[in-house]
Amino acid sequence: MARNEAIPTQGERVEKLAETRLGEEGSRRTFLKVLGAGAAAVAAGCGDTAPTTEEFFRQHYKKLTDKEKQRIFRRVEEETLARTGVQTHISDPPPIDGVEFAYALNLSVCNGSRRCVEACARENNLPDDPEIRYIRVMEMEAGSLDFEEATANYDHDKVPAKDKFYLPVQCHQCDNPPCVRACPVGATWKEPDGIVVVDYSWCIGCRFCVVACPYFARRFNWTQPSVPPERINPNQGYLSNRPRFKGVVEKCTFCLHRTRKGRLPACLEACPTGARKFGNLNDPNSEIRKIIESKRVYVLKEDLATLPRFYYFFA
Amino acid sequence: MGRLALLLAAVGLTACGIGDEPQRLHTSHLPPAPSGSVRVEARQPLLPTFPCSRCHDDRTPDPTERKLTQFHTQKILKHGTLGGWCYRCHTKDDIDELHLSDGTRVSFNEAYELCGSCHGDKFRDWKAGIHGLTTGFWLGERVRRSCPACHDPHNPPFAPMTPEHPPALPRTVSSSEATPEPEANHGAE
Repeated sequence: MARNEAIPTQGERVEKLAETRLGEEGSRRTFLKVLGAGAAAVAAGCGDTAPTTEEFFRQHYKKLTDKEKQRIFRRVEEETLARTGVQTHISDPPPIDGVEFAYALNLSVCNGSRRCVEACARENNLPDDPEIRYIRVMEMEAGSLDFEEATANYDHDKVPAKDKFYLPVQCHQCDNPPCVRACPVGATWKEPDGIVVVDYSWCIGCRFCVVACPYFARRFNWTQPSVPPERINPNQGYLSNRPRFKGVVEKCTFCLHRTRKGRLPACLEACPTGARKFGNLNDPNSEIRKIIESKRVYVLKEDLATLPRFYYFFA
Repeated sequence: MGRLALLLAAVGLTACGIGDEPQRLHTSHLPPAPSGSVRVEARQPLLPTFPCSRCHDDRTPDPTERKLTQFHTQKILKHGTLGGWCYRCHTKDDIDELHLSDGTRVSFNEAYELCGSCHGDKFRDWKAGIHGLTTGFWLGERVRRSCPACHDPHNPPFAPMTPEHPPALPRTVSSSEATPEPEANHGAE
């Protein structure tokens, strides 16, 4: 966690950003020029809908006061309203004391229907073009656990297909997250309740975290994401499903705008087979604790010591 | 060259982490937050023809096994080796209720008791919240589905479903390339 405490200053961040956008060799010479020209020069690499200058030059999320946050939330709401005509509400629920989230998935009953994938997309305002989805459902041969032979692109009339089984993968909210270590500007970090979050406005789009994640859980906005107004979920969290922009990385946040208010994640509620389980690891009576205590659970790529909070089991 | 250097830097940053001893978060000393109560969804309001006595009061129970041609023609009993026709589970004297094998009456809302009398392992998991669909709040009231919400008691296997569309491929990848060996293009960059 020590790495997190030293948050780079805005100047250091812009220098990294210039490196990312303009190439390392050019960055030293152009850095001052870039800084002098304000956000515009760098934003030119981001496309037409880059964050506003105020958003671009704001403090790191962790250094914002409550008052500043409220002002930012209202501004983002106004921007969304002006752009799409949808009145959204941005909240920023803090981690709950004594709560550590964990997820478990019952592979015996998952039938590969991808209902979770689409429910997640609607809840988190994920674009259809270019398509971004946080969850990938891997189809494998029954009796095997071979990711080399698995495919996420299966397209059957009916699932489950004969002699196949299904394993959905999303962000594992690792306790030892390689993505957080890889970020050069501290734009992603682990919260006390176990959720790894991204400050979209601080992200410089270098995509080191995307490469560092051994579960392929992070997604990069190669173009400006657009969600049709009728599909926008107005219940938004600042660190989860608020509008993102071209050139930033995003990922599953266990629906923190829901779960930190006590609700269950959208993917869980959408699962037709009840394969998904979520809860507070610190509560001895929670379902998640009973699963971990009574079932044989396992995690993906345990040998990498990423300590995931996402468990798989058969029951 | 600049990109290569950045990539190497990324690998280096990641590699730095490997030597450190991975550590779990240390928040377990905090008091656990209560996970709330559980309510089992009532079945009776969801049954379109309940109460059954509306029709069955005018009829004489016929326990012989036969093909139903007038009513309930969709209900085909394919439930393991379960014999005994309708009145194995439904109650002959009170068609609005079910009964266990020892004769104990249970309502449709408590149908899980009847299912659990044979499927003990699943019943145990369901009571613990491990099996079955639960929605609502993890911190607050959870709503748990009763067994017949997902499994037709007359034909219990979970019905096959049409899946949502497969993920869209990147614009540079054709579908024929993607299926057998998605890794094959890595050298091209």
